[in-house]
Amino acid sequence: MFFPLMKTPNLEGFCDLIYAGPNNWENRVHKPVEIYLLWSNGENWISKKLMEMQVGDEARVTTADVDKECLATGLALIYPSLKSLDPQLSSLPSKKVWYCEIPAWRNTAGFYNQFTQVSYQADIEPLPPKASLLTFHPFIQFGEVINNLLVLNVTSDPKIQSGKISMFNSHDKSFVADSLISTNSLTTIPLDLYSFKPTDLPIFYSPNIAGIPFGLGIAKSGKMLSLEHTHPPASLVLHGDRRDIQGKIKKSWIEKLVKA
Amino acid sequence: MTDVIVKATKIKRRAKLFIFINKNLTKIPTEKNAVISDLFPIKKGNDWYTEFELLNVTGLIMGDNNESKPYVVNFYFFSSTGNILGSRSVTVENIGRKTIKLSELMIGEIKEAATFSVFHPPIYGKTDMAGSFLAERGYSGYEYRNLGVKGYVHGNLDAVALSNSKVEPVGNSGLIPRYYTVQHCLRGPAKYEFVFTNPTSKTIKITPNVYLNRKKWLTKKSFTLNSLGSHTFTVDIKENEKAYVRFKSKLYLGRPVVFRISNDSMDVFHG
Repeated sequence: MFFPLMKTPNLEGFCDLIYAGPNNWENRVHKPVEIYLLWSNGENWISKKLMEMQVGDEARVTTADVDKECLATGLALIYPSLKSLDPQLSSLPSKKVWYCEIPAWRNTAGFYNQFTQVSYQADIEPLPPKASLLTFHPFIQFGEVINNLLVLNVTSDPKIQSGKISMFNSHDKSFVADSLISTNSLTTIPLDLYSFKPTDLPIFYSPNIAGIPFGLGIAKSGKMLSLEHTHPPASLVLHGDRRDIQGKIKKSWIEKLVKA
Repeated sequence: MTDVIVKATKIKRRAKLFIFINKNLTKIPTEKNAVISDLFPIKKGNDWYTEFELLNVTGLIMGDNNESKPYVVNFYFFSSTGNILGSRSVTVENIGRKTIKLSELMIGEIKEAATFSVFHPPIYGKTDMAGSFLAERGYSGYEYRNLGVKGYVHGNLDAVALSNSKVEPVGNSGLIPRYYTVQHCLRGPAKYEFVFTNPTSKTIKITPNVYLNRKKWLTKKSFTLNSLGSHTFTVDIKENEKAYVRFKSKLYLGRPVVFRISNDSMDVFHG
């Protein structure tokens, strides 16, 4: 289990770590852990030890604290390890140290500026190297606000590959624009140039790269930030074979969007 | 030897799961034509505006949200004690997204509502749902002190099913209490509000514990939540103070929605 440290233009990122699991009955790890920062240089995962943490400790890591080279892709990962890591890794470590399922072991990641901060309960496991993404984005705000789409991708393979993400208007299926997202990166896509209306629901579709999409709103005054992830299509239903339903929803939309 | 350890670990995990989570997190609704919703907190008062981003969820599942027929959604409003105060129908015109200002709906008998649920038209029979139920998991938007930008948060717990105008709590709870530690270090100066909803059919007791400045866990006064009720637990953290907070209850997922109010701004996230 990894925790993201994310950088986006004009904001610094943070990750607040607490060595305290979410429940008192699953993974009762108590050993000291070494906290590593991992980032991809396109060929390897580079590791740097940041600190050690004991049970009950807390620590804040910010993008202002780490070298710019660690955040060239907008993303570094924080990984608690029970043993020392090599300085270069050909794939991400597979051992899950801070890990629970009900509920998931998370930490708080987000962004801040001089006025305020915005938080997200974050954890991420590596995504499959080849997967698709389809999501609906209801977070565009209007007035004195800057709207961005963020796409967070992590794969075990350190290669950084880019792929197309296409933007459509869900209602009339009209094509809006293409952009690029990359693996092992946080990609920031400005949305205000597309003149979406308050009644529009944009769809984003990436045929080759999966990711966690976020809506990021930044008040032009800087005094309020807004960050929330969009849902995958499976979240529109509960119980039953949600994977089957998700497949059907994606297929149905993709058929229409590709024709658009 | 390794095989023995792996087997023992698996048995231990299964035993723990049986003790702590011996049912599904969410019950399967009684009726096949039911639709499900979270319970979404309402922030009221002079400083707050609550909105909801209403989408044509049926259309999104079917692969086409361009509807010629009116799409009518029912908002159900609940008091903090879990009583249904009333409902309002909202028609989504043939558009992609409709932002609902809750204050425009909350008049008359539902003025004092603390939470709401959003029930879409039944989809059962329109498409093969593979045993699934349509679910509204949100997004609520909260604006603080006219800052001009809303903080969004999705619903936290699949809480309520509706079928044939009957509301049914679908959350499950366990036999023995367990802790949930909010995965966030509270940092001052800030006021934290932890908003709990009870998705179960039972009354739930919740006991907060606060761990301030690495001293010891302090047990705070317990509160009880009626079925479909809600409660806000508040903690003030002074400048340079840090704290953790955990909650003891029989809820499977005792996760609150968290509001952090600081420096004339706010941050909202699901805990």
